[in-house]
Amino acid sequence: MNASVIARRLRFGPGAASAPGALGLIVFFLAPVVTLLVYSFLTSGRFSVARPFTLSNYDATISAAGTAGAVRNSVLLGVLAAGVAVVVGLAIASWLRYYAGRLQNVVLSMIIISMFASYLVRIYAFRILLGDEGAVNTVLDTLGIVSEPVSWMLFSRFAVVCALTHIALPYVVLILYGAFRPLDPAYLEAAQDLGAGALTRWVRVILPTMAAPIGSAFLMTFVLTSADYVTPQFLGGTGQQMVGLLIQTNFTVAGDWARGAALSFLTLGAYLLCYVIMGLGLRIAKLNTIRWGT
Amino acid sequence: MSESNPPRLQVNNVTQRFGDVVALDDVSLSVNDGELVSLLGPSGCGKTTLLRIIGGLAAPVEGQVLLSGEDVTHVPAHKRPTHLVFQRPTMFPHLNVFDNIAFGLRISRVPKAELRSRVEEALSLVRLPGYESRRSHELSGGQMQRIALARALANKPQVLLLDEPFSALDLKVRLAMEGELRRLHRETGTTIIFVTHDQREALALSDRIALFNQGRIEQFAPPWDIYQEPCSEFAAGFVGDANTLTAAVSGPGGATIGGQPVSLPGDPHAGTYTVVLRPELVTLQPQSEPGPGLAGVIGDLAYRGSVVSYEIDIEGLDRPLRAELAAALAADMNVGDAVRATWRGADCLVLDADDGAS
Ligand SMILES: Nc1ncnc2c1ncn2[C@@H]1O[C@H](COP(=O)(O)OP(=O)(O)O)[C@@H](O)[C@H]1O
Ligand SMILES: [Mg+2]
Repeated sequence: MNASVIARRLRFGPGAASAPGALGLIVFFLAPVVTLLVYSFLTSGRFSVARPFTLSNYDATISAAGTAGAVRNSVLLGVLAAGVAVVVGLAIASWLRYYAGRLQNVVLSMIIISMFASYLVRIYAFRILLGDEGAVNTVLDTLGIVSEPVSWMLFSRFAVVCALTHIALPYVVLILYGAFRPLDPAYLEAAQDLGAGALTRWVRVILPTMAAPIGSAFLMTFVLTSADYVTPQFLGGTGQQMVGLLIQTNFTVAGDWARGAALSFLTLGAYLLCYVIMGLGLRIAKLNTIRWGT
Repeated sequence: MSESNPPRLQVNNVTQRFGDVVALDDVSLSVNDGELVSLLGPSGCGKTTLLRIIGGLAAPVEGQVLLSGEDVTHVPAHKRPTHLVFQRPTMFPHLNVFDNIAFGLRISRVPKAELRSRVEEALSLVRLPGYESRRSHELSGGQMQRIALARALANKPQVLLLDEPFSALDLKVRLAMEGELRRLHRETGTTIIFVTHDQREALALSDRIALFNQGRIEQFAPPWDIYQEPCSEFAAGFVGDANTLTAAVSGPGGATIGGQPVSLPGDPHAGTYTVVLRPELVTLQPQSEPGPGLAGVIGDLAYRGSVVSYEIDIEGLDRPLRAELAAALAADMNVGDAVRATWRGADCLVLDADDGAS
């Protein structure tokens, strides 16, 4: 095949229409990731990297004193926030699907609009909510439940989990609401007719048919929240290092780009592993794809 | 039926409203053990609403539902010994055929060995043994409805409720399923309530038909009676084909339809009556032969294989009279021929006088 044939294929062939897409992927996804991957194997200077290639960045990152604690913190906060978001999101999505009636579109739009608000604004909102003079304390005080403001709420894991859950929730609701669409109420009535009470319907029909979307929603928001490095800075207590913060510190304050990159890729690897494990689990349970009838 | 043996199912004065819509208006119904009763009526007349109330998926605003004499009006569906087959297939897509049929049995904790034998039994009842490991996307619409039947039957329901289970199927599959249902009913002796808007299906399947019209039961009788002696113009028109004619009676022997003298059975009093006449009971004679009957002209004719359908334009009637003749008798009648439509006196049904006299 000579060059002109190849050129013609490229210009007019069936692949031509997908060329912009491929270009987009390369520019926005592949190139930055590959650059960072290369960094992680180079030797670090201050705010620079240079040859020779080495594995020491990975070694050093894994054995560094702060890493284990940061990982623990990140996983804990991520699991808590994503877990709460999935549970609450399931409740909201199923309510929207089966009970909301005409309110459905209104509530959905409100959820989507809430995502438009700036991330920082929403974090600050939690300061206002949870602070000593905040809305929560005011209500508790007015109701006479407490005599002094509850001061442990702000600048704590609790505040971070609240904010992260809040950020994750709209994604969960949208994913699960879409997933609930094909689960016609008639399936749930059929289950009830066969003897399934409300709990049994959840356990035997809703959760298994929604397993894959629930897994996706959990994993997506787990990644989103466990890697967050802004919320802990604004709402967290002292001494609660997180992986996202470590990476940021490596790239900014410490100027150790290679280690920052190595930690990034270790994190990415961990997420991929979670993804693979979830996929395998769903496949073994034969719940990876549900084929709905027409 | 003895006192100690209450009917399998009793519906007493059930009324159901949705906002301003009265879906069921004071409906009462009693079904004996082992009966197959059809709820027949046009779409939107409240059949599904009643079935859901019987099955416990909804509670009526007024009235009672009794199963074997026990009031279950407010017992929810999952605690009722009734099982429903829905109009659209509801086979759980995450479970195979075996697990679908075992769904109810597992919830009621039937022991493993018995569970297996009951699933197999249900599968052979619907003639799909060997399909245990299939998923819903590997089945046709008809097969899915059979699985739904098996899933309900495996739980040995006191009353099996079927909501137009075959209406989404092709005609051919549907006819086959009707035969299957008759056989199933014979073999299991289950009490069945069968909802349909298809009068042909209801006539072919039922021990008794409850004919619905706008949330009320118009007539509740065996198919034969419903067809032979419809209680109203609606019943006559909905079940089978019928000519409904208006007859004026001026005195004894003085009945006319469209101004032409006819004789009506039972010598009714003076007044205006609705007369029901099935097309297959009408015979046609050339006008050249003298005799009684309504004189008219053949306006249209359709050959239907075993029979020929005629429409006869009769003077004084705003609608043509329909007649259906065995093809063998119809050979020499054509469009434009002047004919006389006759029937045996007892073959037409005179409904109550429109002015209230009887
Ligand atoms: N959940 C409901 N909400 C409001 N109206 C309803 C509901 N279910 C049924 N209806 C109304 O009640 C009437 C009877 O409906 P249905 O029992 O489904 O009729 P059928 O099954 O005979 O076609 C209809 O007018 C229908 O619109
Ligand atoms: Mg219906």
